[in-house]
Amino acid sequence: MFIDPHVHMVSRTTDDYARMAVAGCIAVTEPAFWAGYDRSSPQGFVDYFRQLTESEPLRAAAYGIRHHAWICLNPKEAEDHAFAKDVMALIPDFLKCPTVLGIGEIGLNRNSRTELAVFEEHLELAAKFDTLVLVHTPHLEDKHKGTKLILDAIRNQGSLKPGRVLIDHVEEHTVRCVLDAGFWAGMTLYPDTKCTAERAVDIMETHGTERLWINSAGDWGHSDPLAVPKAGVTMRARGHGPDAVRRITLENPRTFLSQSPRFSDQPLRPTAPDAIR
Amino acid sequence: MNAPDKPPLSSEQLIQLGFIQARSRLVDVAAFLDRVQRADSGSGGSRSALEDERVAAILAAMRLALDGQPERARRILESFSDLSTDPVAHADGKAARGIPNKP
Ligand SMILES: [Zn+2]
Repeated sequence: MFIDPHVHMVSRTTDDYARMAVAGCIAVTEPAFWAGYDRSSPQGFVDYFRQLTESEPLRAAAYGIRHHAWICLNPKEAEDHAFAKDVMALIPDFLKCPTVLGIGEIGLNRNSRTELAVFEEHLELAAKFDTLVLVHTPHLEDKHKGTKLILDAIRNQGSLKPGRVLIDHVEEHTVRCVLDAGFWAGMTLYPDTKCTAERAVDIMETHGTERLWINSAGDWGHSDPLAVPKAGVTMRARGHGPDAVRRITLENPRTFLSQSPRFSDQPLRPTAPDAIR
Repeated sequence: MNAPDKPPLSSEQLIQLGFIQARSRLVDVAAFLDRVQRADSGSGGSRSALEDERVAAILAAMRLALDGQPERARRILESFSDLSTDPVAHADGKAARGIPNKP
């Protein structure tokens, strides 16, 4: 059994839900992200947030998978501050949905001043509504600097508890500062960028598995919604026992996510015809 | 598993497990450099493609891998990182390119 705590199921087929269920997936959480194009109006986000909170839980439930969402304006669409404010005004309504765990995935993309301002405004929303926070850290050359700017902004916010914030997409050069500051850290298993399963196991061996999870971040790009169970196999090949696999793929995400009373990974009866074939 | 100082497998077992993949990835990097250089030869340009700042960053990172010191992955990632500290005035496009812009 496993939880994939960061996967963009709106971009995946129903076959992926079926395969994930067969591999033992019992729950997913899906952060709001960039669609691959910029939405032309705030109304485009209303439609997307409804997809996250209404359609996806039903698609997942058919395969016995619990689906939860995180709501925000992603940093790739945060460069227009006035537009960002209009979208952020929509968020409080969606935070009331019974499967929404919090604000995410907020963060930085190119480390710009406007992105940082929009990130700080999201942090205020999370503090006001007392939600969990899921943070995206930038790509490639921007990750090191962006992670530091993000940690500073959360500390400056003042009231958010590090244990209720997960900093995602850490790699060898960012994991230490995240864990040392008391935050949770996520490792994303991608074929070319971010972490391979082998490197994720290296990071676990070097830094321990406390406050650490792994995810597929499966989306419309080059990614694999079975990356979490496959990493479990890599851990076994590297000499780690079933308990260690269970901790990183199931118990750790459950511990973090259960800080929201809306999270559940209780067994759900699959109802899709092809799930019981 | 809380930060054991040694991985569960012996170095011999880890070599057994990872050698063929590491060998293959290294040949891929070498073939990439050959490919770039091959396309360059005869183009008559005065500047070698190996001086391209992205290619140069890879060659510099390979030197880090050879220095015998630990934490090669972290140090190589840092060598590919923007180490400045202030936010930029405006996002320079949506996509990162893998190495920092020259200051
Ligand atoms: Zn994501």
